[in-house]
Amino acid sequence: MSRSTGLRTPRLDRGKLRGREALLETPEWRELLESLPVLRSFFAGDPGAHGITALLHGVSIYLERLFDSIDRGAPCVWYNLGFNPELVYALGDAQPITIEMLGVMHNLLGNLDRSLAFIDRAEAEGAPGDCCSADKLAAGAMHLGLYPSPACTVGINTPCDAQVMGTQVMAELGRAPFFAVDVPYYHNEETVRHVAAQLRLLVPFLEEHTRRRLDIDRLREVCRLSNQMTETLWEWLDWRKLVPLTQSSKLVAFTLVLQILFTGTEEGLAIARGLLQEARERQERGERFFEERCRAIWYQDPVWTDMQIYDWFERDLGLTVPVDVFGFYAHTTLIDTSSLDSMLEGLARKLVNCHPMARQFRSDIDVYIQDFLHLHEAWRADCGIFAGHVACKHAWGGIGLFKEACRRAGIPLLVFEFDMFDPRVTSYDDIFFQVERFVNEVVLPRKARGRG
Amino acid sequence: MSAEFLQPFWRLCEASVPEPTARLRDSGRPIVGYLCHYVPAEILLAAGAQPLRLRGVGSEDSSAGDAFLSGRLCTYVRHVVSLALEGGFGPLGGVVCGNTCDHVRRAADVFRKKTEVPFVGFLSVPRSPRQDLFPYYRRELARLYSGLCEALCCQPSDEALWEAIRRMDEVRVRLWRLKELRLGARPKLTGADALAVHILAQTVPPEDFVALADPLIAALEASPGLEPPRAKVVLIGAELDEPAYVRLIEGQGAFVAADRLCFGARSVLPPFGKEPTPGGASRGDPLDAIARAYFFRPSCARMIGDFPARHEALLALCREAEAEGVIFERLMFCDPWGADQHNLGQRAREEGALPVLFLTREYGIVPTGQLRTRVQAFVERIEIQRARRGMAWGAVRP
Amino acid sequence: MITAGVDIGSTASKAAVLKDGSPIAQVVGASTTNPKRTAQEIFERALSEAGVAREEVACVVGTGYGRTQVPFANQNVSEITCHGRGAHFLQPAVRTVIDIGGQDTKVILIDGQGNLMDFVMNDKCAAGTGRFLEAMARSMEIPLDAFEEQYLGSGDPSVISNMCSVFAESEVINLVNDGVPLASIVKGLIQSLASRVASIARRLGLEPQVTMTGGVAKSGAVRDALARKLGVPLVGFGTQDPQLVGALGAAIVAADYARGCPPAGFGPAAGG
Repeated sequence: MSRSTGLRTPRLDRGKLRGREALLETPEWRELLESLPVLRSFFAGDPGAHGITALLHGVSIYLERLFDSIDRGAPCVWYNLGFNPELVYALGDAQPITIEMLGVMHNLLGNLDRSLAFIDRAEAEGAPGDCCSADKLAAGAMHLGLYPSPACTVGINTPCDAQVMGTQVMAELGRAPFFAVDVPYYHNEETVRHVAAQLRLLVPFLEEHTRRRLDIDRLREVCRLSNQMTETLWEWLDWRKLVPLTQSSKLVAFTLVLQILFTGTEEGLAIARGLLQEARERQERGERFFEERCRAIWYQDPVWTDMQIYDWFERDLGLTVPVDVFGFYAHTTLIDTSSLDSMLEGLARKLVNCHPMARQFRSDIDVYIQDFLHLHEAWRADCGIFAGHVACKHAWGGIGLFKEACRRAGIPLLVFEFDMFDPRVTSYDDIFFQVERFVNEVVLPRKARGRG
Repeated sequence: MSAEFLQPFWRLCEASVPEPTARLRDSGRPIVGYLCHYVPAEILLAAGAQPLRLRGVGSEDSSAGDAFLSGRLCTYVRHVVSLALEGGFGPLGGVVCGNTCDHVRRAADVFRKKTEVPFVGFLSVPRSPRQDLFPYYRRELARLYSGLCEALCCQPSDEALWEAIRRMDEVRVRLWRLKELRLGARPKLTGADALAVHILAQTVPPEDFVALADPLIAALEASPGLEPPRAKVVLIGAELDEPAYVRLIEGQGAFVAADRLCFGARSVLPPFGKEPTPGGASRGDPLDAIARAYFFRPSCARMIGDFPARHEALLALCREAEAEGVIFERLMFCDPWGADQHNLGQRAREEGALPVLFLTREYGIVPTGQLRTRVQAFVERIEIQRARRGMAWGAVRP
Repeated sequence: MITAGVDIGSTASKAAVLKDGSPIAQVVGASTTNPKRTAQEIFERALSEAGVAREEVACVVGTGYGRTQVPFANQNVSEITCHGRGAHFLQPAVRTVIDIGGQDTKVILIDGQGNLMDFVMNDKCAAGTGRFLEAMARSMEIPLDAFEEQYLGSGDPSVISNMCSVFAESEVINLVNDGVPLASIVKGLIQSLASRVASIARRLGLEPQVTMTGGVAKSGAVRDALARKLGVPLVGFGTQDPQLVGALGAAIVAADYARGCPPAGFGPAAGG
């Protein structure tokens, strides 16, 4: 029966995905591969687009490695987007798979029909309409049986409550041993120790179910790459503090993708270096693709459904986004690679204090607000844009106090509702209209008054 | 005959602070509110406070809370926060929130920053009822207890904790008996009545509850029981503290023989206080006993990876209650229960599974038309399935 | 044996009279704020059309939102069960019934005897119901009947991105003000409604054959859009008015009661 109809859909059958050929028989994987060269060609005319070129190259390598591991029958480990895959990469040929990956990639590549089909499938299978579309992308892909069967699954309760949905559905549909990583509420050392202790238990769990031994030297290398990527991102973000911004606004949100898919890999480091190189070269060359008239801290969620909207903001409004909450990689201690324990503690610290969103979303509202105020000041922004993903309860639950903090700090703030993966909730035009009105009627006049 | 003994429960649960609790407050006892059943009432009692499970009853609209929490959070939390901001609970000595869900977590921010409540405690409850995570929960309880004692100027002690366990055990013994009275071919207590009773157990002092419960139990035990219901169901879900909602369900023929509601039977633990050892030997660590009882109780949907155990427990409960279906209620915007809705829906599609009716609701609104139609059709579906199994009307699953 | 079904809906009330298993009268009228009186009136009209006296009717079943407000009914049964039975009576091969009424949408799975197996309903939101179309017709200032013609007109459908009826209405007004052809807007609206209904249907999963009942089923445009969205043909009832399927089902259930065998294990009939 066709899955495009309302007819009763067959139960998922992941057993069929035994090799890359089987995978590529599915339109979801085939289209993904077909889209990548198209996207690469968009940037072929810009030899300075090192960031996006490296990202697309990294995605290709990731997919190739994924296909290769499926061909070899290597064990897969599923996890949700709050987790980082360094430990899995240290298990030899084990393959990490983020359950949101396929839906998010289709969304980013503009294959909206595919990603919306994931959302619809998740709802058809019982996911409530008011739950997060990120989780529904994951649930839909799992229901369609698009990921190879996992040897085991890892769920973490960050960055937010919505992940409870993703992880529970993963545990149910994965039909494989499941390990929950609990991240407490507090921002303190006890939280780091608590998470590190669980990672210590996670190692034998992964070893048992993947039948691979954790190679400590390999982990050290993974952590070294992870650290290098972190340092490179810090430097890159520093370049984006300069006014005017010379690099595209939309690149900043990709930090999260980097953390989720690539941290601890050569590709991850290459992407971070590409972003840095691009920012530095464009700045040094003084390139200008747009006239920057004002800059915003985009807080909460990027418009994944159409990242071109940031180009519009730049071109039509002179609005740039030097950093957003998905792109902000907070300064913290790097992973100490001297021993297994020190590495696990470093990974735990990174998960709870640095991972974009997990840092801001899991605790009291103060961290969330303080980070925003810091970004606003350090990246010399003129305003804040709270792009409120409809299902993001933690963010909407803090909106009153967040607005108050912005008012106290004298920061103009736009608040609007949308769904970061589903344009049926708020249309692209509506978003643009709201941002345009805010910039032209609030931000720019205010800035002009300030200059006067 | 039992109606007269039930009437006080219904009357008292119409107030967010029932009369006996308000009286105690007026006599100087601090009232400490809490929002989640992972917050043990024993800790609050041992610190010299009267626990009050916070409810939004009496909140006409949630606009005061919505100003901070927006309209995208669950209506239970929005109404509770609104009531707190508008002084609907009267003076509170403290509030204990937790990382139950993002909604309660954000309510904690508002309590801290926008109310005069002198003590806002927080309990970070691990997201999985796993043995290795238990010590963290126990440490959290110890921290809460000492913080609360400090705020309320009392001395923490094992004796006070044991005494609190003893007092709550008195409540638990009654609730356990009432649970039994809901079972059998001629149940003696409806689901709606049971919910009213459970609400009182969490909102009035233990002694007042016992004083109300004992004559009720005696009257119920003496009663012949209710007419055999059309269909028995188990009602599960989150923050349902509106007995009228359950009454409407039962009015359509779906008798709630058992429940797993946060305000209902899920809050009931078996008594766990130990009798004093002859010779006065140590009874062990009371905090450990409390932590174990609460942490390893039948889990709430917030507990990750525990759905299979929850499902097993649900099936066992259905067998015990001789239920032929499950009604699952969820507050709109609730993610944890959204996940269980998905997973339960999956299992309900399996061959031979019990039928499940999924209801989405908003706090403080008892819908009539649609709810009646859904529940009545669900009962009809159960009856049809019973007939297909070749069982006589009124017969139930073995 | 004569039995009757009275279906008191949110916008329309219907009654059907059955004699020895065949329909002899079916009537429809508007619902009022007094459901008891409405029920009485629609029942009397049906009796008159059938040419039978009240005393001749062995059993009456009330259904629809006002089913408990039918004072002379011997029993009340949910409209979900009744639509299933009515649809099965008319098209025995049907296994899925999509009932779009004035205020809600139901997708009903039935077995080979027309018995209810499972169902799903829309939430409180009016999107995907008859009221949604009525409201939109009002905001475009065209009669609802004109939707049919507009739907068949030329032009691409407008995108109605908002699924909320209230916001969709303002979106429609904006489109009208922007000079978008009515045919495009109507197509967009109908497709939006069909999407909404399809999404409810997917929650249950359809079993062929599929049919549509309720007042909105009279719209060929909605039937066409829904069939396309679901990817399955919708079986029709020929000359039978789909709005009356619930009342017909109720009369069939009443016949079961009158024969002394409560349908598929239902409780015994109460006194009228």
